[in-house]
Amino acid sequence: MSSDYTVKQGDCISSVAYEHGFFWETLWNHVANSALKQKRKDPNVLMEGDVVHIPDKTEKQESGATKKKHKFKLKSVPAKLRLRLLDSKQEPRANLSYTIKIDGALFQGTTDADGRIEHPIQPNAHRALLTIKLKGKDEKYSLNLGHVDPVTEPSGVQQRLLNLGYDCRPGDSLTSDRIQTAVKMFQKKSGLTQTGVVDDATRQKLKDAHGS
Amino acid sequence: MPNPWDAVLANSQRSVCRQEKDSDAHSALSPGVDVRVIVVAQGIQFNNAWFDLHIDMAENLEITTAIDYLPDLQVLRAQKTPHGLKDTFGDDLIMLDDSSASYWSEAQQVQFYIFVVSTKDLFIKALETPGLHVIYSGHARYGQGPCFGDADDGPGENWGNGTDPATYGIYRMGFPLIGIEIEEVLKQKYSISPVIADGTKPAPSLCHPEIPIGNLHQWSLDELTLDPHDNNKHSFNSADLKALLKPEPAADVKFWGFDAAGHSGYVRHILVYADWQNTGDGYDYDLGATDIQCRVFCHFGCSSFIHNFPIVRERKQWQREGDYKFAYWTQKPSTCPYTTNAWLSSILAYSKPNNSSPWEPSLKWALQHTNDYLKAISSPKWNYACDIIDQKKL
Repeated sequence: MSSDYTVKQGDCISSVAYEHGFFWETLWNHVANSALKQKRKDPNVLMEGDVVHIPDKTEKQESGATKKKHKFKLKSVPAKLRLRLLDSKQEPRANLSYTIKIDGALFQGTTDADGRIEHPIQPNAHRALLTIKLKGKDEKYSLNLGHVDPVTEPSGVQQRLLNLGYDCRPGDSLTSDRIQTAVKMFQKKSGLTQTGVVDDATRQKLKDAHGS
Repeated sequence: MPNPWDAVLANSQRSVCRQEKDSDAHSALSPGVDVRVIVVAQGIQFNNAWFDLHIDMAENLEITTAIDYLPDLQVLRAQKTPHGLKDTFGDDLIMLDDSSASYWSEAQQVQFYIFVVSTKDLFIKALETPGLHVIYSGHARYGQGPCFGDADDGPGENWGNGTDPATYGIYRMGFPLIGIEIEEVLKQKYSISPVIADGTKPAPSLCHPEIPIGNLHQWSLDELTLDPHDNNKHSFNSADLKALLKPEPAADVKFWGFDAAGHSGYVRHILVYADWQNTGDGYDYDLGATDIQCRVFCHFGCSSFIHNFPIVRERKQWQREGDYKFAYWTQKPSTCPYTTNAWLSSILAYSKPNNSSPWEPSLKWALQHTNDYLKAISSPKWNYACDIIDQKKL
């Protein structure tokens, strides 16, 4: 039976598809989800309350000779966690040692020349703890996977500004002093007029700078 | 009870995207601006509620009296924290509510938050929060430790153990044995635990350094209330003092005491237990039970160097480690709200890049700047020159 699934905080198309036994493209490209696709544009950035249509599973038939063994390989569906570490001037933090614990599994590595970290994850992985090894102290981030909201939402603006190193807190409104100060600083850095107002140009620059 | 600074510190929680297999999108992650949280723990009588009460009283006086009172009204207003900083930083100091403010230092590239608290439990939570800059601004209580109370500074238990020891009263941070003026105990009317005299003088290692061990006397309750200048004259009623001794002593018991200079001349003192650890029921809220993890601790009560430095740095062994565990003390009587606001102004006014940098250069500059400022504004009427010091070797 087909159904409609209401998105919770932390969901993205990959996680919803994985938990319902689909490939993410199947859901994202399904005609019943075309309005959602048009509205959100990025399958990894949904908003709590969005509705994803879950279609019926379709039966696939394969021919095969009798009295013979046939191999059926399950297509893997790994997702990725891709981060780009930046310094306070938003320059890449290259060649830094780190450990990352993703839903209990520990990995370690070094950021590349562009400050990037990349690890395969289960499409519904929820939490990660990133520890960057610095001389004398560790820098730790508790990461909530899939929690980034669309940039059209105040929370999406706040999350991206915070990830880019501007000072703001969860729950800050776009008219708060903190967000306006942060927006002005971001606009200055991005070559925009410093209005403190989150307009379309600011949103686009914010999305570009954040990488998602 | 949630700490008001939790939300600021929660910024290490970040939201990031998952990406599908073939995507080249990512989530940026930057340590961002250096956020420094300063918690000012205001003690009894010198807290914002007390200032509000007295500003309100001053404002509602008859007009002729108000004119006479006006200078003091301005003095009262200037001592509130963080409000008093507005005089220096104007609108750049953003009041978040009546007890907190933020300030972005363009020169330092540091975002400061100042939170003012006035209860013992929040003071302890601040001390136990890694990375905070904690200031105690209040009475030293003869070296017993920081002391908290509500807007009412009238006589009562909040000057001692506290009506609710978790919230109010003394946070013990001093020597195990301390001398207190008899007059002070009777004036403030709080209970004390006197040291019973059994013929053997207390070990010097237990005593506050200002106790004249060679001149300790074994006095009865009646003798404790005599005038030091005239042994035939009583300065106080011994029954009043007896009512404040815990546990209530037997009639023939003697106590250790001494005569020394006090707030009103040469006065009689009584030796009391004021230990800072393992002090039993109702005393869990002391230094001994606190795991200090803050990055800076300032005690801006009077003469905190002699009172509390040896306890925090030597006995508690909370000692400097590189760019961590800084501590600052006063060497003289301190008009603590002025000292605190002068220190905060200096911290915010430091004018060199400081983002993600060691704290020591800015603290060193603030120390010098604050002491210079306090000396400059000092006068015969108001002695602000408390002379803050840093004992970095310990």
